[in-house]
Amino acid sequence: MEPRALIDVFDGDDHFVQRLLVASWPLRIGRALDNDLVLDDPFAAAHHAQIAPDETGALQARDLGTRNRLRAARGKRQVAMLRLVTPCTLVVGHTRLRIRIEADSLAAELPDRHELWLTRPIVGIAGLIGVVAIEGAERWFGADGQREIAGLFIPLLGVAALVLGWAGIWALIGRLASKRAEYLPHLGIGAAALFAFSAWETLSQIVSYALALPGLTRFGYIAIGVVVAAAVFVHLNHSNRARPRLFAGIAMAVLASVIGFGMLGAHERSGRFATEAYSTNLFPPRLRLATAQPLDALIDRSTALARLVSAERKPQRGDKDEDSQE
Amino acid sequence: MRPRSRRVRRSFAALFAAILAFEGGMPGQAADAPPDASGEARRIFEQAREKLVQIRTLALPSRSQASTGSGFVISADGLVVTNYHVVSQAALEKAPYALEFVSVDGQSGGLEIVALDVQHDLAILKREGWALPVIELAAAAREMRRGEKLFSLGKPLDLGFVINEGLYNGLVERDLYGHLLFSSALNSGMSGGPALDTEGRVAGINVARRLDGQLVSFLIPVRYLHQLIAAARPPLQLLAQRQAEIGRQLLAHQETVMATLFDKPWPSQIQGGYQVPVLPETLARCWGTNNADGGSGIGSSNTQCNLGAGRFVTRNLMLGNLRIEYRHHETSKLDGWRFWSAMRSQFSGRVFGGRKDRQRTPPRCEEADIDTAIGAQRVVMCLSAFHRFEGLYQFTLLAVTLDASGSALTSQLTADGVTEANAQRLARRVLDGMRWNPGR
Repeated sequence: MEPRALIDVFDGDDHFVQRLLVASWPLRIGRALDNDLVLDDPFAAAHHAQIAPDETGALQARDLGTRNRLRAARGKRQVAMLRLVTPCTLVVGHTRLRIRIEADSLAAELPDRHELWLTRPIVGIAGLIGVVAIEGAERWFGADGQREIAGLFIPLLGVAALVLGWAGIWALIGRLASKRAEYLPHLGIGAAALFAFSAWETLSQIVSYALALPGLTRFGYIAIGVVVAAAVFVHLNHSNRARPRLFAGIAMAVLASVIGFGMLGAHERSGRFATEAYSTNLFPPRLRLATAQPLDALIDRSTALARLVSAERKPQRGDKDEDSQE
Repeated sequence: MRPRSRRVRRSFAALFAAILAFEGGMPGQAADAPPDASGEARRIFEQAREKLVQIRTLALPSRSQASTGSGFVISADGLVVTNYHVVSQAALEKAPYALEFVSVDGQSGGLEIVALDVQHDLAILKREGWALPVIELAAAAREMRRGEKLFSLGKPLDLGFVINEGLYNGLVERDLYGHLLFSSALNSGMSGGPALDTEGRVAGINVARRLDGQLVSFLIPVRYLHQLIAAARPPLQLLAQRQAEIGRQLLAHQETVMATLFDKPWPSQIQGGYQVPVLPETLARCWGTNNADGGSGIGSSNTQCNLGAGRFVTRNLMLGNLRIEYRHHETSKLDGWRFWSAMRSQFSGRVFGGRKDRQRTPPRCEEADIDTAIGAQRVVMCLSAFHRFEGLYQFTLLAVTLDASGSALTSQLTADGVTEANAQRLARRVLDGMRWNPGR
């Protein structure tokens, strides 16, 4: 006989317990062995409920005279009778039943993000090596004194530990939330994020120098915010692919927080939102593409600068007292 | 122990603005005067003794002593002269202070500020209804000869009034206002006291000593006191009045400095492949060093010029000075990436200040690649305004040449307390004055 319904059973901790294909109605539920669906739930009665179509053909769940009766969902009111509009849930004792019938329409399938290249194990390992390599190269070419390979060991170990630790945190979250740690995919995501940040940092400095665009690197917390938010979204979405909108919202909140605190910190220190007073990006002159301006252009801008700082004066500010002898 | 930077700052303050700070404990009692003490000094001291006072700044309401200096009476109606820096707390700080005099005989009373001269570090105070003998001033035009004997008086370290014999040794070189070089000991607490000639007339006013020398002291020429007396107005009773007056004088000071600087062309100096303009030898001291490649792969040479025109304003603020530094870097070992990475370190962290700075606003900068006679340079101009002195700015100019892969010239000019117009003139003078080294 063709199945008429499918019931998934979840225990009090919402862990999946069993699946039942229902071939005919009525369906009796309870702890006793003569039920059609036998529950291992001390809060369910021996014969707790029965599901059957009513005279109109709609499914109904009826309490069989128990103490705890029925609920439409956890936390909802206890009732003796429930009309089941499938797909729906029914709570018997502490057990949750998810019920759907053959006629229920099904949502379109979710895209299979398992195939996202970032989450392949090989990417994780390669990403870790790549991040260590780019950090090593930055330090190697940035050193202005003697180059010592041994001197790179501790900094690079720190970078590797950062990525490994970050992936570990996400694997732990995945393990707790969905019973899937998936360390290597998270390692790939973390390494890609750090790689993206390192690449942006270096490239933006070069572009800023080449095109004389100092503003490109004076708000570094924006790039950090974007990279961290994107990484958080991909990590969350990999752990649970059913809630992309929620995770997008979380990522946006992370972005706003990083940028907000970055602006606040810069302003508290220096009274401006940029992280540095002026750009210090210097590279070999052959990379310069911008055309030099006449000095008058900069002098003209300094006039506006004088107006700006004058407007920030607080004439009543005084000195601290200090005892002394003249 | 104070942090080193603070000590260094204080040393500079002492060098150029007469902060004769006393930070040690109380020394033992001085020995009795030797029986063969100079009869001349004894005579001078006896003549001046009733006209000498100690000036005390008292923190209110406790009236505990915040600082002390010395002074002398110049008019029968109670005008007293001292250094501006002796009374600067009472003159300019928001916290309440009072000024008090104590005579050699132990009389004391309150004083109010009548006139201030920040440029020359002088102040005139007044005690109403008070009459004391007056000390005579030497004529403004009086010319002194090197080796002439002078006697400085005051109350060092709050221990007791003293007279020190010393010699006038001409005018201080490269000094905008022509301070007198005085070979004798001036100690903390003697600031503002008179330096008398053998006739007992005021030839100068004690102001400063060098901490890194022995018996190298400075006096303010008496002609500036004549000018201040002539220009004295009604008492400056309100903080706002004093602040405005000091601001006006600081503006005048920087105009004097700039007029002197721009009056003549600046000499050139060779730095690597470039010729750079430096401050005239007659106005400023320039020091230089050469550093061979010490393992970093980069050799450098530098020149640093300091105008030494800073005026003491408050304990934490000196305005009016100008410094220029050029540093040429060259490598034959490093590739371009690593050399310019080192230049990045050289170029960063050159502009200081933030929201917690009580004296000035956070610095704001403009930057651009500028076309100069030695090719393109990355130029940064930063300004911050002084909270209490409208129209005065701290100006920093940074520049680095961009014409070669393995060498670079970094330049920095810092002017404390200039107008916007003078900041721009300085930027032009430095950047327009750069040339290629003809022998490169």
